[in-house]
Amino acid sequence: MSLLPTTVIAWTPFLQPAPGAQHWWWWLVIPMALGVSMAYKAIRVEKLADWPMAVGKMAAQVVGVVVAIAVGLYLLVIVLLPMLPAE
Amino acid sequence: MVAGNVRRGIYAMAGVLVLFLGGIFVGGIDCVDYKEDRLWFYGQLGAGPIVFAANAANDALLKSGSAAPMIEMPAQGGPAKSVSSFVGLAHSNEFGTLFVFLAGLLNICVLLDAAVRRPHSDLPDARRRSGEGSST
Repeated sequence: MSLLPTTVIAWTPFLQPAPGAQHWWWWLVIPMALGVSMAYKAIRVEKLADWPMAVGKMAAQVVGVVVAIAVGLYLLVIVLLPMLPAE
Repeated sequence: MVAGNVRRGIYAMAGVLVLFLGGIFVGGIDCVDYKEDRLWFYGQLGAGPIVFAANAANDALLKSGSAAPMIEMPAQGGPAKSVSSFVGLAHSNEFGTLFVFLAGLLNICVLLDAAVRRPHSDLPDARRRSGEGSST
């Protein structure tokens, strides 16, 4: 217990916001993609035996595209735009 | 009332609950708020009665001040206002609200699908989805 931060020890799940979400909020894209994929693929797949694989594939695609957009925006804002000549 | 696609319904419910409970877990029950986030609440309502339960819990525990002390907020041109110290802020509140909202939207998709899906069949409705059928 002593290894846990005091914010976690004092936290009441579901009543209070998760502690430290300001620092790890970008990881939330994974459960978000997973939940959306689980519900969507449940009504989309023809054979329910394909559901786990379809969920994994769609969740990976969603996370991959979000990461790609983040990398693209990083390159645009941090690398490319500063290279433009300043008037 | 049972259309026979129980297993498919359980899978869909699992996805909706991952989003709903994940949202409440990240943002707390404050992320379901009829009084202060009304437009979000209307979308969240798609998830069903559990949204009313979360909103009632928010009213009973947070807004009443019974779960945590209330904090006086600075007045910004209006009357002074006090909020619970358990209210979520910034990213935790944003993501919690979004998760529950997505749960509502996807549950509406599930309802629409259930309305047209053939009973006792795991196959998509042939009348509606002729020409489709991709599993990805």
